[in-house]
Amino acid sequence: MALLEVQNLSIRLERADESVDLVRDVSFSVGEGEVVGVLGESGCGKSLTAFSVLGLLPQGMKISGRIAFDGEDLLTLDEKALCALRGNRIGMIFQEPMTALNPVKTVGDQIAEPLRLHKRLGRAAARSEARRLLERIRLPDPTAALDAYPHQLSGGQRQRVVIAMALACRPNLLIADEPTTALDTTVQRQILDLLVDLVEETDSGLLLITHDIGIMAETTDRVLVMYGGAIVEAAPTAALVNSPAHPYTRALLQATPQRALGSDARLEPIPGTVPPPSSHDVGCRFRTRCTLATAQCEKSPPLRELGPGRIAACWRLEQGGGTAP
Amino acid sequence: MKLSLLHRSLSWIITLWAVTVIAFVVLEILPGDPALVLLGPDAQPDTLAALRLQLGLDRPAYVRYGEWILGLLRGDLGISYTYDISVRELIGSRLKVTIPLAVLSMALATALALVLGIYAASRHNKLGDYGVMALTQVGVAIPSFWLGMLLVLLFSLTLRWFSAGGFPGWEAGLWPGLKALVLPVVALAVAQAAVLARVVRASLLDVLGEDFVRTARSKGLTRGQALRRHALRNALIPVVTVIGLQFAHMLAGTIVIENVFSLPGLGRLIFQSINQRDLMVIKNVVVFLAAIVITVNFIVDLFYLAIDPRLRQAS
Repeated sequence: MALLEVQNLSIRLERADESVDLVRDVSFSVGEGEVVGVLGESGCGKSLTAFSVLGLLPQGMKISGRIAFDGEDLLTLDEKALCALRGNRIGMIFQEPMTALNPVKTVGDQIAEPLRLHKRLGRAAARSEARRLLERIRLPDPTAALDAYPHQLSGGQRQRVVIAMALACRPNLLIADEPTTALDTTVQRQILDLLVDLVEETDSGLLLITHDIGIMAETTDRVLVMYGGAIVEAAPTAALVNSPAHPYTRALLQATPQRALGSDARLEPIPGTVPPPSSHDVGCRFRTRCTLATAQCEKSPPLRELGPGRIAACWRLEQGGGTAP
Repeated sequence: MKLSLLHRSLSWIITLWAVTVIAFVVLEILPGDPALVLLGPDAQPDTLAALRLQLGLDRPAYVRYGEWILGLLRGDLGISYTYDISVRELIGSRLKVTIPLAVLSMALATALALVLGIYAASRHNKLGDYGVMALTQVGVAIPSFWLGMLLVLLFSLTLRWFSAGGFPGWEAGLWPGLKALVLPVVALAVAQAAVLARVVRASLLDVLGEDFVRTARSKGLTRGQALRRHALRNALIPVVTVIGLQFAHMLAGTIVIENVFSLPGLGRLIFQSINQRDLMVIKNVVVFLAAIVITVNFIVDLFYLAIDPRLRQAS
């Protein structure tokens, strides 16, 4: 049994005049010690999927399906049980280190907080554990950093602090929502390496959400590609990068600076933008931007199995849509 | 921090000096001859002239201004024309009413506002929130003097729990003194509490939408814990600003409320002194009130520094 099993997850925003499906029928799993990437452009439902695992969706959103963590369906748990899981067995790292930390509390207090809350550590014990964590995330002068306020640290240092906070209670599952997007490229590398090292050390599962294919290719074991709130392709990372099946995945790869992927093909932007969720209709959502779209794409393509651990949803996989299987 | 304290002390002095100039000039321009008011409209011209001489009104304005400032620096505020005692003594005795009145009102307003504001924010867009908002709307709309009269009608004339006005003096004991202040304190506090509660709510709602509150929730804090431990302190910054502004407003409010409840406070003193053209009292009380307001703002600045570590470094 996988550590995290998401089955048929749908998230619907219900408003007075209309309701919109933001995430549709998403299924995936994350095993212990496994790094699973979620890839897609902004607005494709990646972050919502992540927040739903923590039970921290914004108000007014309705969720259905099943999210099993260690065999337990999170959607049936009450708030108290969820609070006991959050920050304890499931850690979360956010995109914006500049705003993810409380500006009026010291770094030490913020890292010690989950330890005091979940592990019932006393003030002194939590502080020394926080110091140890700061050492582990390789922050220069960890003792001084304990009493520092977030604004006294650089962006990279803050993100290290956010990581330390998420890992404080040694969670089984770590969810990282674009953890390096807000950082300088030079710092991105270090943070990712740190993250992967720590995950390996603790043997926890990592769900890494990103829109950066370079990061995805280097860090993940498996990748889910999302578009318009649904999974359009899932595959082991190497297979995905070498032989993308779905036209969207291929378009994403072609829109990536190739140096990161070690080839020198031409950079091709994807025409158009992600359609807003309210305009979602039946049929393949990518068809308006797809060069291979035909009349058949007006109907929704099912996810088809292409090989071991490989699925994709496209009518035209055989007609040059995919180099696989 | 040291530099900023020096900077703030300097601005304190300059502001206060500006207040003395304005108070003096305005009273010079104000129509009404103090000598005439003191002696009545039937006074003989030579008696008037003699009194003007005695009051020093015959000398040029700049000389009188200079003398006043020198006196202020020495702590000598002159003698009241009408009360015939030193202005310093007069202000001192009146402060014993006004300071407790203003401070208690502000404390009550702040306590009410925090309770209502936090409650409304935690029930955002639910019935409790709407209820509090409606309540504060009414609170803002009620003028304090009218509320004072309603309170007197109910609690003094009907229920006979409190006296309708007057002040026994602190010599009569702590409880009788406080008891006389209950209704005026409530009358003054309600409108301020209503305004402040809305500020607390809006500020909290703002902060509750911040990323770090979500981070706190992801660490396993309940909604209430995240509000109390993370959102509240951040939300207090605008609240403290408004409290500072309201304190000035509150002091002005004492003028009306002290008259409604016949309390022998600073507000009533300034009201009577203006009626009687007691220039010595007016200008000194005005400067004194201004000094209080500036000092309160200074304290508000110190609160900022205590709340927000980012400002500590910037200064």
